[in-house]
Amino acid sequence: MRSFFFLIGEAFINLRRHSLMTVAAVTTIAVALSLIGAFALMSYQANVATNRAASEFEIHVYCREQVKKEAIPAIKKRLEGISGIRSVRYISKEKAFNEYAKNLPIDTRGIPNQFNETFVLLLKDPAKGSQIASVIRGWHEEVEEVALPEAEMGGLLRIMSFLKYLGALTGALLLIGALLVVSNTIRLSVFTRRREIRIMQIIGASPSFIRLPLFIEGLIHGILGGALAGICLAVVNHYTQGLIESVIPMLSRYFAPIDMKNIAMQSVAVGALLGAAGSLLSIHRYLRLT
Amino acid sequence: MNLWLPEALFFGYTEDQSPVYIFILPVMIELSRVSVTYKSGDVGALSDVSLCIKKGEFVFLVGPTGAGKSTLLKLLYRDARATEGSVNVLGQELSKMRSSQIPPLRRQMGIVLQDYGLLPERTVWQNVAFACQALGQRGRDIRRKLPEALELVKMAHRCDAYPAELSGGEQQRVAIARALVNRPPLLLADEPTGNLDPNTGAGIMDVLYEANQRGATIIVATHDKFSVDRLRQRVIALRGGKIVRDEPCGGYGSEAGD
Ligand SMILES: Nc1ncnc2c1ncn2[C@@H]1O[C@H](COP(=O)(O)OP(=O)(O)OP(=O)(O)O)[C@@H](O)[C@H]1O
Ligand SMILES: [Mg+2]
Repeated sequence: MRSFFFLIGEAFINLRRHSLMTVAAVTTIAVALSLIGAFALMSYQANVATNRAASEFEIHVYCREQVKKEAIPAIKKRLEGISGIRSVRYISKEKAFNEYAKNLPIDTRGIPNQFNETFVLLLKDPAKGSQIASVIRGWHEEVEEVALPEAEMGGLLRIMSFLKYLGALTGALLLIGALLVVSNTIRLSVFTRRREIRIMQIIGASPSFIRLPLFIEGLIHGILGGALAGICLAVVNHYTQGLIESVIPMLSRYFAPIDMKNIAMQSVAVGALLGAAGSLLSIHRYLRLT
Repeated sequence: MNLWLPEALFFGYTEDQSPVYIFILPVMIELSRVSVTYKSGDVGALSDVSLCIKKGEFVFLVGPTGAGKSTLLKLLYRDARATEGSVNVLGQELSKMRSSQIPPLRRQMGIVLQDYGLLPERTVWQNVAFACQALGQRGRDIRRKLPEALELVKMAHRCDAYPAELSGGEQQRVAIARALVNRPPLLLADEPTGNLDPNTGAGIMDVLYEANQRGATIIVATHDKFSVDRLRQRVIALRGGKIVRDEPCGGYGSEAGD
């Protein structure tokens, strides 16, 4: 345990001694994590926006007039049987009329109820809307019309899901790249110290005694880089949200507010992981004894 | 094998029936038919070398440049491996040793490298202390034994200096303090007086000799004719990777010069 604290002390001393390497490693990690974080946030926002939009994406199915009340449960069951449907809500023609009448300023008494029996469908994946609609349109016996939200909605959704996957993919690629860059940076810092490491080996220092400070060093590089990236993300997020609100206010209601404290913490955690993994990858190779 | 005390063997009785023992110094190092060929070099750095060094001996390794002195020392702390033959140091067979056993082996030795091998970013004090920390010793113990070790090589007054701020001879002395601080039973020194003036060199050799008087086994590779002739210890002369002379109380001799 005593030795452990000594080794942590060693790591901090090394950070100061090799300040140039520290700066290089920390900024590398910070840049990588900022990019990863930006793409992750983008992906997250796209996901949230898709879900929000999806919850507003309703398909209305209007039944033919001759459809009897008795047939309603069977139709409901059939609709629920279609794959990709999240929920089916039934609105009777009376209810629809009453609601309509309530909202109308003029007297509706005596006017015949021309509303249809209606089903409101919510979808699991709004992108499949038109496909499902065309299936239901095929039920000529019962269905008079199927109403979909406007086409722009579908376009928006497609863009969102594209962004979602792009963000996730780019984030994953960046993560691999970051791991390589970080491990190379740490490898470089180990390389500049190969003489020192060799001397330690000659003195009889055990591999863990040599490795642990290097590992802790990598870990601290990661934590510092993560913290820096967290700050960058917070700043960028703050400004982009302001930007979206002022430029396309119509979009902003689709986005979730982001808990930056949480993001910063995650960034630090991922940084620590990255630093630890990177240093493990590179230390390993330089500490073989002859 | 008991490495630290001479073994007493019963020999027989004198005429008045008192027992007679003979004392045998334990073997510290035993090489038998060792050859070393470096991968890059075509000729062997050592060929068919056999020797035995007992506990408490002081041995000079002499020979012209490229004779294989450093290689022989490296063999003993497992920095080089024997291509053929067996190397036994401190009771361990090095050719069969796993790499995880190397650090414990080296901790029983003090090693003075030909190029000092001080850590450039640590002070004199930190450099010597590092040899203790690597063994997991406590700070209190380290603070107690360091001044003595530094005093021994007359470097106590420069303990806050960095290696770059020291002359070659001063660095050499710090390297020796580091090798001696844990009082290892075996000390290997590669040209410890390599670039010192004769007086300082003699001082360094005296430090090593004192350590030998306290019981350490010492092996010194050197070109220091003056010290070898003065101390009159065992001399092993190498030439072209072979032992050409092995005298118990030898001098520098002529074959070492080239
Ligand atoms: N790492 C190596 N790779 C290849 N050849 C080597 C290596 N180290 C030493 N040699 C060769 O082995 C031979 C013995 O070298 P060694 O260093 O043991 O000589 P030495 O007696 O210590 O010489 P010096 O007095 O100059 O220090 C030399 O011919 C040298 O060129
Ligand atoms: Mg040499």
